[in-house]
Amino acid sequence: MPEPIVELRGIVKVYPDGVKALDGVDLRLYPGLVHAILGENGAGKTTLMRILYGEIRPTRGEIIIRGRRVRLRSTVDGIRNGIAMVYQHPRLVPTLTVRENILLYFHSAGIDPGELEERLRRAQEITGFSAPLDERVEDLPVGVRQRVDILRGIAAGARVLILDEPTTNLSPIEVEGLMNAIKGMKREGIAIAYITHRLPEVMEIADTVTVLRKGRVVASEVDPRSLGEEGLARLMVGEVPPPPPKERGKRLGEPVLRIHGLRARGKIEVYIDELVVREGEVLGVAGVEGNGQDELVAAIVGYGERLEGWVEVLGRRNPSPREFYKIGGAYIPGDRRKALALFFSVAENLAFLRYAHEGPALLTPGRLVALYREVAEEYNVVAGSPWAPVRSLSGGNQQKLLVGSQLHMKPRLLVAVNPTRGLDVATTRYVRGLIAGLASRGAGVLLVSTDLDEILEVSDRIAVISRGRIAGVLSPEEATPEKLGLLMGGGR
Amino acid sequence: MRRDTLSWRIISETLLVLGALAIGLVAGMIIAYLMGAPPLDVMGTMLSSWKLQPDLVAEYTAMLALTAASFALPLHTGLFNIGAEGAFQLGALTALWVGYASGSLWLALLAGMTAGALLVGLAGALRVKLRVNEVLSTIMLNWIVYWLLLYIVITRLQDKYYTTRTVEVPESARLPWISLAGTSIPSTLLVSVGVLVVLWILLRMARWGLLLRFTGANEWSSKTRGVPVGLYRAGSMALAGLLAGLAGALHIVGYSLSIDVTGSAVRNYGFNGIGVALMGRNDPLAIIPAAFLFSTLLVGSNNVEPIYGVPKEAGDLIVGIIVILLAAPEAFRALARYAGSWRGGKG
Repeated sequence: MPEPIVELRGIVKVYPDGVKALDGVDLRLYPGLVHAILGENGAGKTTLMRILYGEIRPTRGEIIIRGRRVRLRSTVDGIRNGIAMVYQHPRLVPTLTVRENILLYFHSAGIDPGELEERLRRAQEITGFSAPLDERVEDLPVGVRQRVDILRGIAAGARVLILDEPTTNLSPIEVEGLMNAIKGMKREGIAIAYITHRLPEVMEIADTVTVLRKGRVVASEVDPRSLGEEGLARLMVGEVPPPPPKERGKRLGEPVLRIHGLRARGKIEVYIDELVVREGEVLGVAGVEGNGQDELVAAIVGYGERLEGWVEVLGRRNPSPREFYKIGGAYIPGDRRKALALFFSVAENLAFLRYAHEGPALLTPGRLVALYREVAEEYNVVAGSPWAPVRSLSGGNQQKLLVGSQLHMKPRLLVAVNPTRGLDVATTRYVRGLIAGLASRGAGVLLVSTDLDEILEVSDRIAVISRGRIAGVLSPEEATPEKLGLLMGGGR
Repeated sequence: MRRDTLSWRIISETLLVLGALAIGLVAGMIIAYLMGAPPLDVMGTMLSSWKLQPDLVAEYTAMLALTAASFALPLHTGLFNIGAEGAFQLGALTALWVGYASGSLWLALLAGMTAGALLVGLAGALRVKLRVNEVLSTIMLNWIVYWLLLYIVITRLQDKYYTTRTVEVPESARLPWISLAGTSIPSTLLVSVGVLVVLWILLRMARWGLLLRFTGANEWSSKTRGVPVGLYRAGSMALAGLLAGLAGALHIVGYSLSIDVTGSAVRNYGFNGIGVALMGRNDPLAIIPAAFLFSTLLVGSNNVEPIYGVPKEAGDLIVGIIVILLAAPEAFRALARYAGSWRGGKG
């Protein structure tokens, strides 16, 4: 291996609240190599990279860049040391244009604005990306924002690029573009740190892998191909529970959800001609984010505008949200942070999600604790106390709380949006198992997900949504990733 | 140490309050010293006013607890009610008028509550329906009531013989005083404490309160769960007006019996209630001791001038420092919640 360009030695990070995020981590990044940093949520991957970028300071440990020990006091120091970081949610100023954002970054990097054109042209050559310089960032889709984020880093002369879960918000085609850009950057000798918990991506792009678990390195600079996905997964989680077996040839019952000629409007306009979910089936709705999923779900649950046509939930036409839950509907929104009151206690959040539409007039602490015990036990929620603020829970436990609150209603129709986003392997399996189990007990499930693996694993039928229309409905057998990808991208 | 348990939160919050109180008292003593008065004696006088004038402290406590609740309740839904001042005055005025005309205690109280509820409820409805900023509308309503009160007091209700004040509510429409530990205090305190306990139960033990608090904490989630956010917000404002109107009515039938022609007998209870609510972390039960502390200091500060010869403002300054220190943490949280209430769509 060549000389490392960056070396982190014995990094320890203890957060002010006493949480030890990193416990003596060593890491080296080499020019022209993609170093995957693999780990579950909460393993410390992002914390480690934020330290390298200068965003937060380590409690102990050394950072050595090109053989010199450095002290990074801020991200400006990181940028001037040739490090660029691309976050899951690109940190661009939404109200400024792409050009202004790049110039802002050049200012931090201490680069003359006059060099913009030349440097950008070079960065575009390396990555194969182009950027709409005069568009405002808020008007751009997430995928394009990410490209801008990468471009400006490379244009500013970064020799180390940190990519934090870069494919989370990308469509399959955009992922391909990203992979090509990474190959281009490798040829230029740029060192890439690729943070992920997705094994197929590691297999595809990584030259070497370091696996983190609970703030410690459990495997350093291993060859992904010699270990294989199974080997990496074992390192990452300790053990891998098998995927739940899928029942085939279930008997389907009455429709629990029927949509006819529905026109709805939100960020985009949606028109759904016909869509039916029956008792006992999971209908997966696949699609790239922002293709009308939010509008469809809002129209079903009833908090969104329905302009034309109708939604029939368990025999009731166009129910209000309150009616939706009362007649047996349940809803797991795509963003748990939007669904929960983060500063309220676990018990209060649970009681709200369970009883907001209907419930006992008195909700005494005793009753809240009883409900919490019931749900926590059945759905494996781990909280310090029912009175702990819900924000103190890990993402997985917040999600299990949300899912548990809905399944506790014993719903006959469940609408679930990205129910496992950002969860670790074990929790993902668990939640998918719960959803499949609900359907096998006779409820209907509408599973809206941007994660194709999830759709393929759980669904009995798959509808693809693209630009506000259902582009096709497939059986799992017909639904190859290629075919789904084509439909999602608007092809046939 | 575990930081998320209930007992830890109670202990830390208590320590915070005691610490702020200690700093406030020390700061107050420094001010007294700078003004040339004996610091310990001044503070002793301020804190022991409840022994010297128990009836006055009891009445202040009763009033401030209710007006504090009037500020606290809408804040749980994310709204800032500055209208307790106007609702208090309007409640007092209508109670006096109706009590005087009908001779009925119940009618007087009912009239005061209704007037307050309509006044602040209007601001709530405007906010929910038309996104009219309720801070501005309640401040404007306060001024309307201010002048209305002076006008009616002078043109309709002035006493023929005691021309510096209005007529008094008749005997039949008065709330009797009660004897407590060898002294006599207005029974408005009992009513006020009773109302706050009920409010606490509604907020903390009832589904209604949980839903109400969620409208302030997470508007989007409330909407997706079928909770009528606008109704809760406007309703909380109406209820807030009712509480302040009740306070004004109680003040008339249980303590002052009339209003002086300058209106000073019914002034500032609403505004002081905001400080009390923040000191009490917007919790109805915690508001009661906060109101007592505030009232003790307020009444005590009036005694500082005659006894020690320092300006009255010295006492006010000391009260102000203690209140700010105790209220500051909640004030920041309140502002954050208020900003959040505008983020969602309508309502």
